[in-house]
Amino acid sequence: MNPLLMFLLLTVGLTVFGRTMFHKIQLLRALEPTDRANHLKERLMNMVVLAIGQKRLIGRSKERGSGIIHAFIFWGFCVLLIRSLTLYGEGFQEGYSLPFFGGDHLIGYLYVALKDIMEGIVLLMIIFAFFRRAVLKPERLHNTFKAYLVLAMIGILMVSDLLYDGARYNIIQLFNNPGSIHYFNNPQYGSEFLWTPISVGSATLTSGFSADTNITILTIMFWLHISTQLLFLNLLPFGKHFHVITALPNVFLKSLDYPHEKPELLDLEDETAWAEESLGINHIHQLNWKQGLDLYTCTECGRCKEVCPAYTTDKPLNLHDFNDKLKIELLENADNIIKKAKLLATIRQSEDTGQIEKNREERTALNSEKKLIGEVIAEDTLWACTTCRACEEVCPVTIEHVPRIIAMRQGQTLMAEAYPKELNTAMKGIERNGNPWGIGYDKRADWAVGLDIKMMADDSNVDYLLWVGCAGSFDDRSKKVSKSLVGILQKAGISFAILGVEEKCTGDFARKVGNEMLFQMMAKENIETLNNYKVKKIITACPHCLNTLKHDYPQLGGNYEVIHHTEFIDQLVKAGKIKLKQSLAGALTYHDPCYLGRYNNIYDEPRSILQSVSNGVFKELGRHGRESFCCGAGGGRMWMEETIGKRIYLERSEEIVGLKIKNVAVGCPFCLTMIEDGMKELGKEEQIKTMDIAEIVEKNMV
Amino acid sequence: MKILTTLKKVVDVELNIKVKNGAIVEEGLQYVMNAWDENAVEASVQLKENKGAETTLISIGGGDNTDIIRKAYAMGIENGIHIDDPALTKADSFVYARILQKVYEKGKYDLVITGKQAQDTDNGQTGIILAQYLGLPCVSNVISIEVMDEQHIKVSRLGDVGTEIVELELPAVVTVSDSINQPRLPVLRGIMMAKKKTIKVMDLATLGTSKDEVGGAAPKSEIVEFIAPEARKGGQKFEGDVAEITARVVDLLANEAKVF
Repeated sequence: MNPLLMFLLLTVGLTVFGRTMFHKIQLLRALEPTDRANHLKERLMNMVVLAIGQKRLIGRSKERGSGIIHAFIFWGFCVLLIRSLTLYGEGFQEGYSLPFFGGDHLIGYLYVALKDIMEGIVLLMIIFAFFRRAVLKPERLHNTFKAYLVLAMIGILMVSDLLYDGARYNIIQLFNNPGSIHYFNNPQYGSEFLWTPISVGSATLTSGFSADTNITILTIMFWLHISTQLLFLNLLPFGKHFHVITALPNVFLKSLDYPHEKPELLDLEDETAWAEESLGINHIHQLNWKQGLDLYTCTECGRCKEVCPAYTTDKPLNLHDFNDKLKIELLENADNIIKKAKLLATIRQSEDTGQIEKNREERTALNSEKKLIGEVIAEDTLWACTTCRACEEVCPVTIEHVPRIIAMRQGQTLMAEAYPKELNTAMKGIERNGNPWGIGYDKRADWAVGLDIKMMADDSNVDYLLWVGCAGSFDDRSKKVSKSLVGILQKAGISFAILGVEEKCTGDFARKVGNEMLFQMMAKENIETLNNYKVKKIITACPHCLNTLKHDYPQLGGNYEVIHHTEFIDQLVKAGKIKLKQSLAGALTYHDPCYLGRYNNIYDEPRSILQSVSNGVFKELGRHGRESFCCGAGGGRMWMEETIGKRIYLERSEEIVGLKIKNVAVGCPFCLTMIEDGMKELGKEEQIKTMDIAEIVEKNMV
Repeated sequence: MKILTTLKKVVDVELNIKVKNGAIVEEGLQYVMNAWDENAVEASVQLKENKGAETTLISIGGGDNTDIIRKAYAMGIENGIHIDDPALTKADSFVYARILQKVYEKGKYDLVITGKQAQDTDNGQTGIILAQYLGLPCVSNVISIEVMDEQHIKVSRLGDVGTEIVELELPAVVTVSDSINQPRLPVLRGIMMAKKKTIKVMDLATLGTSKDEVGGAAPKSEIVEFIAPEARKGGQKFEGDVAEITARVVDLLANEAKVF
């Protein structure tokens, strides 16, 4: 076409883009380290399924419409990448084609056919997307000028390319190719039009014009396409559309810890760490580079807030705002963060102590003046999170919200000492008596009196340890669950024992509210006890205990096989060790506890058990499984008053009541308390029975 | 402003306290800060933070009190004194008050803040007796302290018929209620700092007094015996015909429980 113009456009476009990207990457590199260079195969798999496969966009039935729109635009872009390269080549040399994509290769024909259809589909999707934004206006979307601009640009890209091809078709077919316009550099040029119905269709739009006009249209459309594309590329890094570039790497680099990056095991003895306030996240420069990449990638699609129990009940936590505010703070401090990283490199190489001291001071001076909590993110926002992970489960680009929130809470609790004071009672309770209620530790096994349960201290030669948990030991309602579970285990002839007064809170809620010190204290004491008895297998009815014992304790040298009671009961039923009868009357539903489902992937076992005992209909809640709605008690919220907005447990209880059922089964002591309280408050306590699965099983055993 | 705060180590009353042969069974017990003293510590630390007061804490008896004193340090107390002496095993409120008097006289404090009572004995006397010994004004059951100027504080006290507002000239003694504040839970920074601090441990001789002088030789009161409260008996459940049950219940109430 015009090699000089092409050269100029590409040079300017790519140089500016390169500079922008260099700065963005430089900023990420200046953030804190985190290791993601491992398990390549698994990472590629994630990228294929989640990013390229668009699993979370088209996989969710509630969002399928917009998911399909997005997926096709994305796939269209992928397909059009090859076309773009061909067009760049065309700019330099007419009739350019990529190796194997020319007219003497079938693959070339297949490609143009695919490209042609994709352009048509993308154009259609863009129209849908416009309609959706302008007319349907889904609540979760931010309708900004930029969003429309981007849609318009994609539209221009499609239209210009189709018109370009159309004009070329006219020139070749109608006007006998006066300008020798090539597409495929081959003897049969022009024959690819048999494969491109949409381009041929769009040719009719300009077939009425003369050959010269068609050549002008072709030229204009070519340069319009190229310049729009380069402009688009350069706009991407400056807003939510950066995800076009960062989403694939973000998914590839996602944490492979299950279910997300575990809280860092902080070295609490490190005096410099607390002198420099480097424990937890207190200032923006303390994010690690992946957390920075998460912020670049947030597309503000709002799926996170739509499923968030805090947001949907009018708490101030709005995750995409949260991300946006952090991103603004990150970008505002970009230069300082980069300078800090350079100074750190100098410090590491230097041996001159005076110089090191000076550089240290310079580094401190470069810290953002803003405290993240209080000045960027409001306190109520931070503490509203129940750590339920619903947001992470739906985020199409796998942003990890919860670990970041926990790290910020660590900063608030350990460094700023600015955590909600109402947590004091519960924290003091576990510190003194090993349970958040603060009831005397010596009463921990009172519930077990007369049940003929072995204590580890008397006989540790058993197959399983039954980890009762604080609720199961001290809460009157949950004690009944413990008794039922013991009844089942005894009936099945399982060899087990409990720790009795030696058991202590696992420290789950302490860790989730950022009190890493208290968590480590509890964990170390428990691990010592467990390892002392050489415990290998643990059964527990509390998903919070389960999660902590299973995922957090290995960080401190406690490695056990931990089984939730629903899993264990399911195994017993399947092995025929206990027999159930279908005698539970009335329709039934199951509320998935977050720490059992989303955190530990246990969805089927509870349902399988319930199917075998119920003679009524099993109805699923609207929000169930991976998208189950939290009861409101996770992440330490159990021990805080819910003073803002609607109570989360009421929201959930109303949903349950709306299902018109007689029984609601749960598998977590906190859910049990919350849902039952909800039923009481709604006056449905008599009509709808809230029960733990163990209780249901015990009542319906043969 | 110099503040002296008291801190007693008490048995954790959340535990089942067993009594054998008139004495408390020590096995399985754990000891904690007296809850009201925790409020006193918090009140002192708040005055330190807001008014620049200097805070000193004194703990008497109890053997090894390192844990609770460090905890008070972690909450923000600056200096700690622990008076321990074999002569103190049978000390009562009068003995404690005498020792506190000695400490007070050595340090010249402006304000003494104590918990209004201790969780173990529930006597609620020490602070008041101390005020008497020192001849200082005293307000008990205080729910707020406000510094007016160098010489005066204004406190509110929860009385029987409402809140009393009292202005006091310093020096003075106040004993605080648990509704005065929500004691902080010391976290990392405090605990790390506390580890480095020393506790001044003294016996009576080092304090410059003696068993006789503080009345330790002949306490005014003595615990003769501990008796465990009777365990609550379980209720009775009646099932069956209402008329029949009613008759039985009336009969039991009249003849067995003798309520009428």
